[in-house]
Amino acid sequence: MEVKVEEYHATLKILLIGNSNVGKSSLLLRFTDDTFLPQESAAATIGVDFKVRYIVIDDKKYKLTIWDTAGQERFRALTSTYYRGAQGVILVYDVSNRETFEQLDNWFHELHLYCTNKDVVKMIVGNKVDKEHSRIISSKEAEAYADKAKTLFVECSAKTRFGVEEVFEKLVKKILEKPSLQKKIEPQIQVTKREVPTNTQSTYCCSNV
Amino acid sequence: MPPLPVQLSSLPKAFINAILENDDESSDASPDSVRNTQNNLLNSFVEKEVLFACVQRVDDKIRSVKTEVLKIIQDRQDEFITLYNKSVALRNKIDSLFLEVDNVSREVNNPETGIKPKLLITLEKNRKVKQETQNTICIIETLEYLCELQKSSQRFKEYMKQSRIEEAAGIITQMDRLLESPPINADRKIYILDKLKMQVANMKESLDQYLDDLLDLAISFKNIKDENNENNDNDIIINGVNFTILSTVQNLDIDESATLLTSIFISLLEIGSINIRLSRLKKNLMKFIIIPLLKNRNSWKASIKIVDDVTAKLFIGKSSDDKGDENNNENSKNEDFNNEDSKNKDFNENSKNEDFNNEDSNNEDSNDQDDGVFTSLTTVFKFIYTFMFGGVDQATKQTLILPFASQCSSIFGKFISHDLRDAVINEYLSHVIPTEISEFNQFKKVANAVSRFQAEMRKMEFMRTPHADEDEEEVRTLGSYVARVDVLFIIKKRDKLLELGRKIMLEDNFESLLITEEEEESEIAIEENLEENVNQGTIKSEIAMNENLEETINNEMIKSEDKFSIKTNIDDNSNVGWEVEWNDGWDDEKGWGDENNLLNQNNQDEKSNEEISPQKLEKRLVQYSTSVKSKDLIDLAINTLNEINEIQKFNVKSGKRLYQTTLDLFDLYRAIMPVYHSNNLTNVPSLAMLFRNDCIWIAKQLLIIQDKYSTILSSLNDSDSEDIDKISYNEISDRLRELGDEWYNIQIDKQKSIIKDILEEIGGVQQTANDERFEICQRAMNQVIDTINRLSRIWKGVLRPSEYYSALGTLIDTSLIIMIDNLEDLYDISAEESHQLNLIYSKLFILENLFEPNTIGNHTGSWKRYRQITDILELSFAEIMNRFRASELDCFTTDELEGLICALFADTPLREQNLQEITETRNFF
Repeated sequence: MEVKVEEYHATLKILLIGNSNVGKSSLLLRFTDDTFLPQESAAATIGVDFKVRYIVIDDKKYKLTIWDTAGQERFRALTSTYYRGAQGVILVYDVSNRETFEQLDNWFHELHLYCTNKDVVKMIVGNKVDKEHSRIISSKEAEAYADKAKTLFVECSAKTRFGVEEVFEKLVKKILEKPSLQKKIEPQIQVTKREVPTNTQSTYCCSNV
Repeated sequence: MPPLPVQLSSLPKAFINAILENDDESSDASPDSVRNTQNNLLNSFVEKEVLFACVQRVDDKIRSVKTEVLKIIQDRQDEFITLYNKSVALRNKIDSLFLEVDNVSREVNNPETGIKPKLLITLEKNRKVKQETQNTICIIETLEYLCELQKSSQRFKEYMKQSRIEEAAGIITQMDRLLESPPINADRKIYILDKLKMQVANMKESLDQYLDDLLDLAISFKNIKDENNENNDNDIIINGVNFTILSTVQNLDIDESATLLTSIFISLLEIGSINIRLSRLKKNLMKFIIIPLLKNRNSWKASIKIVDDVTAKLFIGKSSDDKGDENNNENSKNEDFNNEDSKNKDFNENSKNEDFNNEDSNNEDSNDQDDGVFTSLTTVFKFIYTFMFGGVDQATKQTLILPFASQCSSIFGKFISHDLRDAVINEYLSHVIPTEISEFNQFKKVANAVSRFQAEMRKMEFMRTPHADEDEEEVRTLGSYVARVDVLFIIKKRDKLLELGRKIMLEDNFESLLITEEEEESEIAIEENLEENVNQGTIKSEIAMNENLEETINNEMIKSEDKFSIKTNIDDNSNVGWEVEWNDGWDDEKGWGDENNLLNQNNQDEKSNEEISPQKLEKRLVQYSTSVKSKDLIDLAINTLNEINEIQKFNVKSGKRLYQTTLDLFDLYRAIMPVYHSNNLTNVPSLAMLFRNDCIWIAKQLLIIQDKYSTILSSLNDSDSEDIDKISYNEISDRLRELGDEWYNIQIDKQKSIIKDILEEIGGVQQTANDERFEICQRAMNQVIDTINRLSRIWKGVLRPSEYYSALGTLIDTSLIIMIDNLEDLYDISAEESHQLNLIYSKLFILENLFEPNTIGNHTGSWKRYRQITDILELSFAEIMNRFRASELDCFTTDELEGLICALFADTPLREQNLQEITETRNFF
C-alpha cells in the first residue's frame, strides 16, 4: 500500500447548530461532498455527524473538522462535549421559517453557556435562499441581528451551492485572525492512504453509518 | 553265601552244588567269599569217601562237558570251512573288480582320449540349441501377434474408410485386449508395446474425432433470437431454442453413406469415450435447454416435432407453432409428438416396451397437469431418450424401452442428475416453496408433478431406482427435496422472519409509541420510598399491563389484523412534536395524564364490557414510550406463533423450529441493537432510555405471549424431541430485562460523569469573591441546570414517572454531593465569599421545579443537606445555633458542622462556646 505524507497547517473545529430542518446536514454535505439530498430523502441527524474537509487559505492548508449536531432535542447528544474546543460555530436558520430565526437567541444562549472560549468565531447563516419566493427573513433583518450579536453573516443555499464555500472561507479567515484561537494552531502531519481524495474525507461520529 | 550245613549224607552234593553254583554265580560272588567256602569245606571234618565221590562226580561232569564241546565243534566244522572258502573267493573277486575300475577311471579321465570332456561340450551345445529354438518360437509368436495387430490395424483403416464405425470401435477394443497380454518377454516388450499402444491411441483418437464430428452433425442447439433486436448485439433477446437430433448422419468424405446416431453412441461406448461426450452434451443441454426453460418457466414450453424420418426437433420457447420451423420443409412430415393423436396410438402390448406418451392417462388428478415446468422437462428427456439414444419404434415412432437406450440414459443420468436437481431447485422449486400455510395445497400440485417426473425419469433410466434398503428421503433427489417441504417452509419462514426483524432493527427509525398502563402498587411504593432504586420498580411492575395486553392479543387473534396491544400515537408524537413541545402531554396539575384520554383504544373497548374491581379503579395510569421497533418485532413474533398453530397440523417438529425462530429473532435483537446503534444509545439520552423501555416491554410481551399461547407451546413441548430445547420465553425475557437495565445504568452513569466533569472543571469553590472565579462557578451551575433540564425534557415522555423522578433525583444528587464536598473542603470563608457562594449554590434550587411540590427530597437524598448548607452560608451564628438546637442540622455530622462553623466564623470565645455546645449535645445524644 502506497502512502504519502500530507501536511496541513492546522486543524479547526467548527460546529453547526440550529433548529431541525434548517439544512445543517445539507450544508455540510454540500461543502464536503458537493452533493445534495432532497428533503424527503434526508433523515434527521441523530447525535452528531462529523465530516472533514481540507481548505487552503493564503497558501496554507487547513483541516476542517465540522460537527453537525442534531436539531431535534430528543436526538441531541451530550451538549457539553461537542462545544468543547470549538473554534468556530455556525448558527443556521431557514430564511423561509421565522421560528428558526427567532430560536437563534436560544442557540446563542446555549453557545454562551457551553463555549468556554469567548473568542470563538460565530456566524449566522441563512440557508435555503433558493426558496426566494417563500423567504420570510430578509437579508436586512438578519444582517441587523448579526450586527447586534457581533457575528458574521452569510446567506447560502445548500441546494444550489450558492454561498456555501463563502460560509466556511469567511469563518476560517476570521478564526485565523483571532490571536487566542491561533495559539492552538500548530503545524501537523497526517499520513493518509493515496486512494483517499485529498480535498474531502468523511468520517462519522455518533451517527449511523 | 551262607555257611553250608555240614551233614554227612548231604555233604558231597552240597559241595558240588556250591562249586557249581559258585561257577554260576561267579560273576556276583566275590573271590573272598568263595575262598572262604572252600576253606570251610577243607577245614571241616569230612570223610574221604565223600571227597572222592565228590571228585568223581566233578570229573564226570567235566568229561560230559568236554564231550558236548567237542560235539559242537565237530558239527560246525564243515560249515566253517565252506564259509571260509567262500570269503577267500569273494576277496579275490573284489580285488579284480577294483583293478578293473581303476583301469576304466584312468581311461575316462584322460584329458586327451577320455569321454568326460566330450560329454560336457555336447551338453553345452545342446543347451544353446534349446535356447535358440525357444527364441525362434518366441519370435514367431511375436510376429504372429504383430501380424494380428497389423491386420487389425488394416481392418480398422478399412472400416474407417467405409464408415463402419462400430466395427472400427470393435477393432480398437480387440487391439486393446491383445495389447493387455502380449506374447513378448518382459525385457523386450516395453518398446514394442509402447509403440503399439501409441498406435492404438492414435486410432482411438481418430475414431473419437470422427465420432465427435458426426455427433456435432447429429446434435445441435440453436438459439432463436428476436429479430427486432438482431442489430443490437449488446441486448439480444432469445425467443426460444431449437434442439435438433438427426437419427442418421451423412458420413464425412463418403458419399451416399450414412451412420446411425445409435451406432455413434455404441462406438463411443465401445472405445470408452461416451463419458466425455455425454458430459459435454450435459453441459450444452443445461446451458441451452434446461436453464433457459427454467428461467422462462412461466412462458416457455417444450414440444417435439418429427420433421422427417431422420430429423427430430425439440423446441423450447413461447410458442411451438411459429418458432423453430425455419429449417422445416413444408413437405416434411410434421408430427406433433405430444399431440393427442400420437398419445392415443396403440402400442404393442405383447412387447416389453411401454408407451411413454400415455403418461397422462396414469395421472390421478387431472388438475395437477398445470405444472408446465415438469411437463416440459419430461418432454426434453423423452426427446433425448427416444431420438438420441434410439429408444424409439421406427415404425410407430413410439418411445420404447430398449436396453442400449437405457444404458446410455443411465450413463447420461449420472452426469446430469445433480446439475438438473440443483438447477430445478434453484431456478424453480425454491421459489415455489410455500411462504404461507395456505400455499401448501398449491404446492401439492408441484410435488405430484415432481413425483410424475421422477417416475418418467426412472422408466427411461435417467434416474436409478433406489435400492430396497435405501431410504428415499436420504437420496439427493427432487423428490426428497419436495418431501421436506415443511422443513423448507420453516427455513424460508425463518429467513424471512429474521430478515424482516433485522431490517426493523437496523432502521434509524426511532419514532416512539406512547404506552399507557396501570401503575403497580410496587411502583407507587417506589415513588413513596425515598431511597428506592429505580430498577426495583421496573422489575416488579408487570402484571397489570399484562392483563391489558392479553386482551389485545385476543383481539389480534380474532381480528387477524396487524395491530397489537398498544395505541400507536405516531401521528400525535411525531419528531416535530418531540422537539417543539415536550410538555404537551404533561400536566403537572393532573399528574400523569388524564385517565380517560390516555387509555388506549383497545383497552377501552374491552374494559367497557368488564366488571372492574374497585381496587383496579384506584390504580393510576402511567405512561411511557417505546420505539416502534419493539411493537413491530412483537407483531412479527405473534404472527409467527399464529402460524405455528397452523403448522402443527402438518408437522410438530416444524412448529418447534418456527418457535425457535422467534427466540432467534430476539437473540438477534439483543445482538444487533447494542452494537449497531451503539453510538446512538451511548450518546443520545432519549434513545438510550427508549431502548431500555423497548427491552423491558418486549420482555413483558414475551411472557404474556407465552401465557396466551400456552396451549400451543405446551403441545410442542409434549412432543418429545431431543434436538430442540423445551419451549419457554422465560430465559430470553430475563436477558432482555438485563440488557435494558444495563443500558439504563450505562446512560445514568454517563450523565453522572458529565455532571461531574462540569463541576470538577471549576476546581472547587474557593476564591469566589474573585469575579472571574464567581463567573466560572456560576457558569458551571448553569450548565448543570441546563443539562438536567434538558434530560428532564427528553426523558419525561419516555420513562415511567417513578423512573423519571428516580433518574433525575440520582443526577441532581450527584451534583449536590459534589457541591457539598466542595464547600466542606473550604477552611476559611470570608463574608463576601459566603454571600457569593450562597448565590452560586442557590442556583440549583430551581431544579426543585422538576418535581411535584415538596417531593424532590423523596428522590434526592442530599437535598435537605444542600438546602441547609446553602442557608448556613448566609445565616448568623445565632440563627445557625437556633437551627441546631431545633435539630434542623441533624443531616450533618458533628465534624461537618464544626468544620463549616470554623470556616465561616473567626476564632472567638463565642465560636468556642458554640462548638463546645455542639460537641456536648451530640455526645449527649
